[in-house]
Amino acid sequence: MSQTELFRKAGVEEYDLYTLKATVNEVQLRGFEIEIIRGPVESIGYTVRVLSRKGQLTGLGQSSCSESSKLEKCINDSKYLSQLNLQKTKYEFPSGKKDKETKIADSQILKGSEELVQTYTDSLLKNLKAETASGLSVKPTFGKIRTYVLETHLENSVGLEKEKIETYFYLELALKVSSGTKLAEFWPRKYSRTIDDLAPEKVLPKWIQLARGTLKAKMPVSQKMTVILNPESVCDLLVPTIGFHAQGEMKFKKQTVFNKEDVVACDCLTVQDDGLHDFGLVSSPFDDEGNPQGKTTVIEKGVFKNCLYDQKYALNMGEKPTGNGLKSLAAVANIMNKHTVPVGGAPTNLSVEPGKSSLETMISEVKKGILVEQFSWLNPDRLATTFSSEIRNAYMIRNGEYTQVLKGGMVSGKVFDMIKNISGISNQQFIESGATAFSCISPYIRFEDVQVAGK
Amino acid sequence: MHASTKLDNVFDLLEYAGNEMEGKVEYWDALFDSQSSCSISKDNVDERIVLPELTGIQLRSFRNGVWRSASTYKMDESKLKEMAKRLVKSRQKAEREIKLNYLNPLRLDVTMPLKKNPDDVSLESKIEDVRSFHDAALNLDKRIINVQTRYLDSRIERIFMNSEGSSMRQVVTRTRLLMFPIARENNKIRMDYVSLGGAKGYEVVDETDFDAVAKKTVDSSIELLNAKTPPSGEFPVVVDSHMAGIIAHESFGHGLEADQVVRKRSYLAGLIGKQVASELTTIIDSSKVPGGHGSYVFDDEGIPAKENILVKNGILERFLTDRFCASVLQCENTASSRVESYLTKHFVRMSNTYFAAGNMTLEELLEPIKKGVMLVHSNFGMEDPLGGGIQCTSTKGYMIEHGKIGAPLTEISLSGNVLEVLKSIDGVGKKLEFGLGTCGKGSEDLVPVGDGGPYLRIQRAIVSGG
Repeated sequence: MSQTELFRKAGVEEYDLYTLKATVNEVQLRGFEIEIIRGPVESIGYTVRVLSRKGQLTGLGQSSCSESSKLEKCINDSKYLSQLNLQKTKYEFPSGKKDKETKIADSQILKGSEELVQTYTDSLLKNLKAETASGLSVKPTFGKIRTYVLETHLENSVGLEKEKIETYFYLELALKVSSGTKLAEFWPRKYSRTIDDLAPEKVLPKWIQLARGTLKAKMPVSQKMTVILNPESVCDLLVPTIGFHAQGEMKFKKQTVFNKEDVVACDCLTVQDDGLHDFGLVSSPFDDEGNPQGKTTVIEKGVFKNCLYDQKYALNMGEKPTGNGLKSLAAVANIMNKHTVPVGGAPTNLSVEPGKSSLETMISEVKKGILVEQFSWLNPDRLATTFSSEIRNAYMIRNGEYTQVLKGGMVSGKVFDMIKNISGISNQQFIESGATAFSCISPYIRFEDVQVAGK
Repeated sequence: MHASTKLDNVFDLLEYAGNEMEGKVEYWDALFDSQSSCSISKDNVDERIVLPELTGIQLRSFRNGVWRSASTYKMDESKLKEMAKRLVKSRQKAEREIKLNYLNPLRLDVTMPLKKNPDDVSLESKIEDVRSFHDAALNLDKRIINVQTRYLDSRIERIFMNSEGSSMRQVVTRTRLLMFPIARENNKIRMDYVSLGGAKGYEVVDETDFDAVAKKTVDSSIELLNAKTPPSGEFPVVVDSHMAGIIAHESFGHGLEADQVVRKRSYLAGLIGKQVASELTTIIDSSKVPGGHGSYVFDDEGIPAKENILVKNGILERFLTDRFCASVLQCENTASSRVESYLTKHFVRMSNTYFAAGNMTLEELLEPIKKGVMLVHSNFGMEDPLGGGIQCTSTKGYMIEHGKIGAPLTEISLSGNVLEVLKSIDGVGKKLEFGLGTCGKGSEDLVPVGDGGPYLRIQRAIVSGG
């Protein structure tokens, strides 16, 4: 029986069916050795949403399964849930609007992941051994090298039918450096769409430098000072906070402090939600409800401009959906289980418009401050936008020069106060994943008068 | 065939896959994983009911010191044969010879007991209870602009077979009930939360006094509206049981996971038998805590759950191990190998990690502190297994002034060196309490865990807050 017939048999008129097929190949390292070769790791997930109506009320039920043979049960469960779940808010499935193109797949990963992971691993180890041979010894204690191929199919009862194939590459590496009894490490974790973006020769030199530097690290003193955050930290600072308060849903629920045309940041800050940025980590022609993804200006020169809408809150607030109905990935989420996550409003790729200064110029202008390359976990409170996070790898800056590597101590503050006190944005953007947020496109940002805590 | 239709078929399938590898590798195991859950979330606008499910098989082989694994959702012999064929083909070889310790085969079939199985409660009743819990918080204070409530039950069935002849099955059900009241006054928005549950059944809901829990959680969110930003710097610190648990787990426990020791990535390597904490301190990891969120019957390598004393009176006693690490380090297997699902790798993980109780009251702990900070209700933490650093963040806190609890503070992070902090514990409370959460190793591979302890007094630690 076809899927359409299964819905008909269950007496379901309004529905969508989201199917995600994922294949992962991976090598994990222990030191310079291979600990495990994983693959193929294959999963499939079907998620059914059924819409019921009773007068002015609508109910949406969702159920998932991992076998096509269970789809009939899944449909019946979703139908039952939708009848228990009748609410005053409106909903209807979107019809198929035309999507714009964006690049989301790496042809190398599509061609052959298992061999590619092995080749990459060989190259990584070769580069690491070469680096280790020169200067202070840097060794990997462990690593993860992983490819994902994801095939998504989405169809609904109003004729929408869309599909996409996308790829991810994940690299996690713990680089240890030792001298006598002193130990230090740099522990980066990065997603990209393509394997070339994280090629060993591109990423290792800086990571090794950071590992070596941390051996001489000290803790900062407690003081307010200038703080420059790297793009990864900006991702974790801004996506959970601006991304949360910009949601139409939060406007509807009165949980945002953003109002249209309010000045919310300094005039040097422009932030867009760019769902079509080539190889952006949440780029896609369409969102997880089938609406086309696009580009929405959230903050323009410090002024809050537009909310981001999924289908539900667009309908309930008389707005148009902006392609932000997503099965949102936190940085810790298992991509392979994405189908089980309910659709809700979420940013795609928040993109911070670059400034005019180079990073070097921004550093040279600092009288006393720090540049943070990595926090242990920058995880701000989405509502209050406060945070306090331990420094893992940073540099002390005095009179425009690096003077000391830092580890330990904390940077803390309130994000929505900090974005009013930006004194510089660098002129180059990077596609980044963070430890809290999955995607951002950002330069380095310099903030003034930020609390640093230490001994 | 269908995964969950007939158990015999699953055992047959795993045995079939094992037979395909038998004699061709040094060790193999096969894990069937079936997870189903019911999630109901409600706030003032939305009500969301989701029934996710995940089923599949992971095969693993070990040869020449290297593991191989493959996973599939397809429950058929031809797929398993194809996977097994790949797993026996690996040409990789470790630099040194590593032999896995042989363990006696076990046969077990245990469903963790529950007072009330969530499967026996109708969906309508569950929804009704979530609505009642939500409504209990609704009109307590006009500054509460939204109340998020969530119910979650999950049933994990795992069947394990290996080349030693073990054949085991466990079913573990976990139930949780959560509330997040959101308080707003002008542009200030704050939220505290409550999280109840564990490896328990629907009694988690039945035994909760909705009105009392809602009132306490709402009051805490409201209190945060007027909380001040914490001071930054070094202070005497008192932490509650939630924060004690997160220190035991995140800051200390991750360094005790023996895979970090084997990787030469643990600040605790070489410290067995040495003083790592004050002599008032005993830290335990136990997968046998009744109802503990991290409890199980056996780990994902077929080792029955254990209570492991990690630190006794300040002396480091043992690392947490899996089959590989126990073999390499020639130490006891602590039943600590866990997977998130059939899709993820086995790692050494904690279960329920906690400080043992001491003999002091909270008043006695606070009494000598002239000016200090109290951290209450954990929010999150992050490990630093090589550096031994701390990042533990509370939801709220209080100033301690002249031995008394003073003004409320917003979220506070604790930083510094974990061994310095543990050695400076000079007071341990008498009441042990557990919290529950989800642990990622680094930033992925999420497993349910419990953690806890009594109130602890730390002579000096670095704190800061946003």
